Amino acid sequence: MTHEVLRLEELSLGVRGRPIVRGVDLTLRSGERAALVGESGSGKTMTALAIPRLNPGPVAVTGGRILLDGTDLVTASERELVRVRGRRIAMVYQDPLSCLNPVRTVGGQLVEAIRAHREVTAARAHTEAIRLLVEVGVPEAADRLGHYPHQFSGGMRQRVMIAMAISCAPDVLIADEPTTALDVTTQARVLRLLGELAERRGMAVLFITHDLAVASALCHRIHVLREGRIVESGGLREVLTTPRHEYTRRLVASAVTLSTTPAKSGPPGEGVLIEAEGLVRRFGTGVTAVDDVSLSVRSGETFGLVGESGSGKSTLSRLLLGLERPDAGKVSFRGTELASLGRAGLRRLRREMQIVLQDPVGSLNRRKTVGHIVGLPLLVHRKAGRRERRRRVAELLDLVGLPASFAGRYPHELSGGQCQRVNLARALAPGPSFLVLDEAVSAVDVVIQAQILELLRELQARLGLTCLFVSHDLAVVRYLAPRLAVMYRGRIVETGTREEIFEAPKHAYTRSLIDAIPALEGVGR
Amino acid sequence: MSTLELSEMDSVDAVGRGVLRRFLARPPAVVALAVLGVFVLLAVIQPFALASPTRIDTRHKFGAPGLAHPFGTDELGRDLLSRVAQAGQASLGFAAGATAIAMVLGVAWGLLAAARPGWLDEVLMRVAEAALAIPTLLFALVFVAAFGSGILAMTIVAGLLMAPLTARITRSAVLAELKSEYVRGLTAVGASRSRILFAEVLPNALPALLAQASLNVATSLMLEATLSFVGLGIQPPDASWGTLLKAGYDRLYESVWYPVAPALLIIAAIAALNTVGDQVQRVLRGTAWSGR
Repeated sequence: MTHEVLRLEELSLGVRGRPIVRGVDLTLRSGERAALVGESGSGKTMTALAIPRLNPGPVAVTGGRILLDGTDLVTASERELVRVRGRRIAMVYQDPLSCLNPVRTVGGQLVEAIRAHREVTAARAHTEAIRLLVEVGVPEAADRLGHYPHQFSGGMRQRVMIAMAISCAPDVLIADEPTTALDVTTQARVLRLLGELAERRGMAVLFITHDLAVASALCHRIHVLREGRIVESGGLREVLTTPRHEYTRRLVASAVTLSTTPAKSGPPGEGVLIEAEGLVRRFGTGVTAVDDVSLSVRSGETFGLVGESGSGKSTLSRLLLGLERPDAGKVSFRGTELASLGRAGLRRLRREMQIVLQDPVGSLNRRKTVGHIVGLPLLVHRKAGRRERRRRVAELLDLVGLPASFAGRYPHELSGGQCQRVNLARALAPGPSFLVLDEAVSAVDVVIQAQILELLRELQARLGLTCLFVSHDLAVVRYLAPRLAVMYRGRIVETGTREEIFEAPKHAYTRSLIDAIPALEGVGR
Repeated sequence: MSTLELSEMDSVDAVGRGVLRRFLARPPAVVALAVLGVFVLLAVIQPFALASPTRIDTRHKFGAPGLAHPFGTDELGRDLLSRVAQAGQASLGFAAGATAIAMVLGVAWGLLAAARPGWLDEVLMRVAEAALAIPTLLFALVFVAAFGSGILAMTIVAGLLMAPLTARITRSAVLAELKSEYVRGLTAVGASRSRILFAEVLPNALPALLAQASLNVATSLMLEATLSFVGLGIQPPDASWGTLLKAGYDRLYESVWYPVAPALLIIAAIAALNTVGDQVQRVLRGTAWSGR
């Protein structure tokens, strides 16, 4: 028998009179797994934090009720709230490393969490801690208790956080983007764990995410949040197959999964544009980031490079661009070896090869205008005059779909998606023939991601660019790149066409990567 | 041509404003700037608008503050307001000069250390630390003893003394900027090292340097007052706030009002300068919070 445990009635939040969450209604029954889906800035995290009344200082509840088994948390005293937090409502956050105390052992922190709410002896709490770690699937739990957070991998750390959250058998678990910082394979395992725990313990889970596909892998119900309002609520299948609200439809259409029809691409040109042979890059710490990698990209094609974090894909792309020197092996661009070029020669080559980095906002100088940023390559490489630069900047902005008036703006006045367009415009400014996109769409929301992918496809076709598309997201790479390589621990384990890799993966790692991708169930395009 | 979607336009936020505008939105900062403005104004208009600081009026020795003499008069019946204003020219000029020297030297020093990691950075920073380890006042006393207490020599000494700390601040501000993602972006674009350093990174480090500059002015005012008070600073007949304070302190039994004006001015100026530095730093930290 399930019963209702949590109910939000017309919950509204605001910062200094400016509303950020407006009248959110939501119910959660025991054992139910519901997702609150929305893009960044939609108010989903603030809603989640407001439930145990952990909303940060300036954010205040401006209306509505938060009923936990009939008790209103909005009017509850701080003493009552302390009893609720951790015990009745527990939270798991996005970044487990910053939530764990780095100078105390994981065991010590777990025991503390247990004893904060239950009157048990230290020895009992210790046994309980081991049991919890076993339950969340941490191997060799008894030994691991004495380890520090930095000795755990990202996925294991998140498991520890989950163990801490469930230590007092809460009725409601609020998980705020708990898998966003994790690799795909780890994400799949953590999602499975959360599902199992909810089932076994009859715990209600409120899962906050920007990713509809991730939500669909875990949850029964979906609430779509947009600009502080729930625009659509419903069962998983219902929302995914027959979305009613226009925004939900766009969200569903924007999600790139393994069933998305790949983007059309023109036939690749003949010759090889860039080629790497036996590249090795070691770091002083004894880590071999890139280990004997060879690959060649034909001119005019989009080549995908897939790998999880730490696989060495970013280092490889920096080696290809000559931004770093390999310890062994060579890179040649149009037949010229990069190592044979001096500093000046390499800088001249920058015209030909450009890169777009992951962080859309961080990779722009915050104190310079968009016009300056986009015009800089023209100044550096072509010694273009002020008037010519202004004209070219306007053209470039138009090319990436931004109005020319943006030239006078500063990066902080733009959204993440717009900043990434500016990055793209800057990379295109010197007229490159080779463009590396290093996780270029990983930090933006799904709808924006779809727009940028579309823009990339268009630009690639129109300008005849050769692209190296580097990403951890297999579905996105599959969508864009007809040919790709899979990287694992510094090595390329598999190279082939889209069909070869996705229909008949040869390497076990490739198979596990493909299996780990959450699918939008029942949705085909 | 893909067009701009509404959702992208919506999420443009107006959080970011210039550091200057956010600085001026803070009442303590405005008050501190106003106080400093008044002091500078006093020093500037003294030759034109105030009574002569050298006019002796032996009938009104040690006068209490009144309408004719807002700060009272000294042992020769000279107007203390104009004397303080005139002394401000020496004190503020000294502080400005010393700060200018400290900033030019320190910024070049710190920038060089940040730009050339390795042995040069090591050498430059160890020298700075060695210089910092010596007590400022002791250092200043030795210098004054060696080179005399002319105002020019003192300015240079104070500038040299404050350069190492400025260098350290500059180095850390520049290093923090060099580590950020946008520098990687600029390198990939093909911008030269010197362009990145001077045209992109240094302007971004400027607010931190401004905060340090205001603290440097405060330090040098304090240093001048201290040296003059013990009789090693600016010598009569030249007057500074420190020498006036000393003169007033010696005559404390004749007039309680005499040392009040210079003391208040020194205190207010240093408090205002520290406030400016503190507020600039708060504004900068605010940037880090709201930085997306």
